[in-house]
Amino acid sequence: MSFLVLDALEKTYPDGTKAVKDVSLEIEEGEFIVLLGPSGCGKTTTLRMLAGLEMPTGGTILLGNQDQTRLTPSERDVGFVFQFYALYPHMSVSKNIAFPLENMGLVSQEVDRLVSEVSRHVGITEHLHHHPGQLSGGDQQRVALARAMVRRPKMFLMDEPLGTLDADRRLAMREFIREQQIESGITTVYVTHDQEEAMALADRIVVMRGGRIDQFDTPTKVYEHPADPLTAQFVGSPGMNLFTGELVVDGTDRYLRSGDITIDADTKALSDIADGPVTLGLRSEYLIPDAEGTLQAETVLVERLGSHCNVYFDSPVGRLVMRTESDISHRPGDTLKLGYDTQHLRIWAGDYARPPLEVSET
Amino acid sequence: MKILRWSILAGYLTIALLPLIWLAFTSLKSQPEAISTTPGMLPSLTERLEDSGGFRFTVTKEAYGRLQETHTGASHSFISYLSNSILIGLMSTVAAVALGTACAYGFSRFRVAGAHDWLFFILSTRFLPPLAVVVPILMMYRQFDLQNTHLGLILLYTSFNLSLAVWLMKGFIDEIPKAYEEAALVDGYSHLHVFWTIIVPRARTGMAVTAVFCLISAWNEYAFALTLNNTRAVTVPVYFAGLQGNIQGVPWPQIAAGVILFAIPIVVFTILVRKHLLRGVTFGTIKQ
Repeated sequence: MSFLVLDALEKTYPDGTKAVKDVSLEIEEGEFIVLLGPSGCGKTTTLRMLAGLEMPTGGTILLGNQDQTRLTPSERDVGFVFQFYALYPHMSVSKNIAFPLENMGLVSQEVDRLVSEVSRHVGITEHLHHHPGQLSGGDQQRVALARAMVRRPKMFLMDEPLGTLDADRRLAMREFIREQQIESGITTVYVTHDQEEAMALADRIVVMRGGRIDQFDTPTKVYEHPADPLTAQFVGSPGMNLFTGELVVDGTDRYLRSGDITIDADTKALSDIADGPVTLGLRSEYLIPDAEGTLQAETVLVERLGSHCNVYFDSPVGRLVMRTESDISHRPGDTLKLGYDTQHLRIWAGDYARPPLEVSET
Repeated sequence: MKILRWSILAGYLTIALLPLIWLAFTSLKSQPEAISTTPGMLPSLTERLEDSGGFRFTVTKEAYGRLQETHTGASHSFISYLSNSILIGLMSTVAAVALGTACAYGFSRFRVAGAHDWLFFILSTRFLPPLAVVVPILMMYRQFDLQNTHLGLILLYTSFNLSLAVWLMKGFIDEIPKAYEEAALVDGYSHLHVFWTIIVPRARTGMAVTAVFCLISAWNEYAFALTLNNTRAVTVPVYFAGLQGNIQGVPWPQIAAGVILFAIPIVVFTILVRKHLLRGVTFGTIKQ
């Protein structure tokens, strides 16, 4: 049996809001799991139910084969890192870190030893006598991590811990958190709405939407084979190119059309999709200039980002973005033909209204 | 600009302090001097001042000394009334703040059935003018032998101030982020422990503000202190009122001296919690 099992977990608030509906997950010991989704998708509520800060209205939580569904937070042995750190402002940094140990019946030398060990580990020894208010955001988050780690809990729960940090701080802390987790081997559930953070940190990502699990898979799988167009659009920077089309069945022949043009596709991939409207997706890096290509495109904008360029086109299927490593000489207004390897074309049944790509045309 | 600002401040200060200064001067006069039709305006430390034309008065500490005597119209000395006031004021303040904080924490953090109605009910105990319930309370106190006891007034002031304490403290506790408690709960502590280690230290400002309000209202209360007592547990406001009917004339210097002594504990208490008060009155207007 898996280390952490959520079975049909539900949370309905007294006002009738269903924050979490039927969430089932099996997580192995030592895994780094990221709950990813837009705000209001139920990811934080799920995390808080794991901590016991919210009581589920249905379903069960098993941690190491023990039913934890109805336990209070203090009975669970988990470490929680809050978005706004939640360091006790009236206590010094060392008191903050020692706080979880203080009702464990340890002798004070042992408490001191553990506090100094963990603070050396996260690199805040010089701040032990300061108060949290005197520390920078990044250092406060280190203290919060130290406080969660000092007890060596069965599991770490982190609620957008990097959300309030500056961009450069955030990258360093991201690296640091992952490093600590790998070293300690403690199972971690991490909540974020930042897809890049999720991709970078996770062993497996849980994509949530509307209180349900959309997809539960490795970052690569989520990136390459998103469960639906919304996830495809949400994950990756830029998001996947999406356009609508139609699967036409003509005798034994099955092919894709979008508007007036025929879309090249892997025939195998079409075999288990019913005819009718479909949504098509193509990652920007799989789009290439190709004289033989079927997509006639006009360059709109070129973003030169150093390591790569994003080139935006208007095409018969709508706005497309191409990511290319090499610098290109396109100028707005240039036209060319685009092609792609058909194995990278993603096809979903149904017509999803395509969210507009936000490009400022300069 | 600076001169203008200072002169406005100085003018205001004079107006505000004048009654207090006059009170202090009166407490240093002798009885004839205090009721003289040409009162001395400024104190003089020398024995006699023939040439001042009555503008100055001779300072005497007599009034303070006589506070230890039992005057006509009172059954004990001022000192005994003052200690009643201190005991009753402090005990009722401590009780109101403690109960109010605990109650406010409950309303702020837990789902209480009908919380809004309860809070309204708590507030509604202040709707009635206290004097309207003097007689019923007197009857009740007679029944329970609470007349003429310190406990009687402590209970009464505590219940008067409790509604104010609950409402004030609820406002303050609502402002404390829940994440602190949640962190402590996850760190392995019970709600009771969290209340002591997290809420109480964070709510100190609110408790100080609430304590000042409760103490002042208990300190100055007159009507119940008068009706529920006649010999023991009588507080200072009743003492002052009693002296007005003195057949030998109102002893103004002693009253002035008593008022000065009576005001000092409140001033000292307010200065002690001043740091908190300043933060307290701006609470909610500044994000922490």
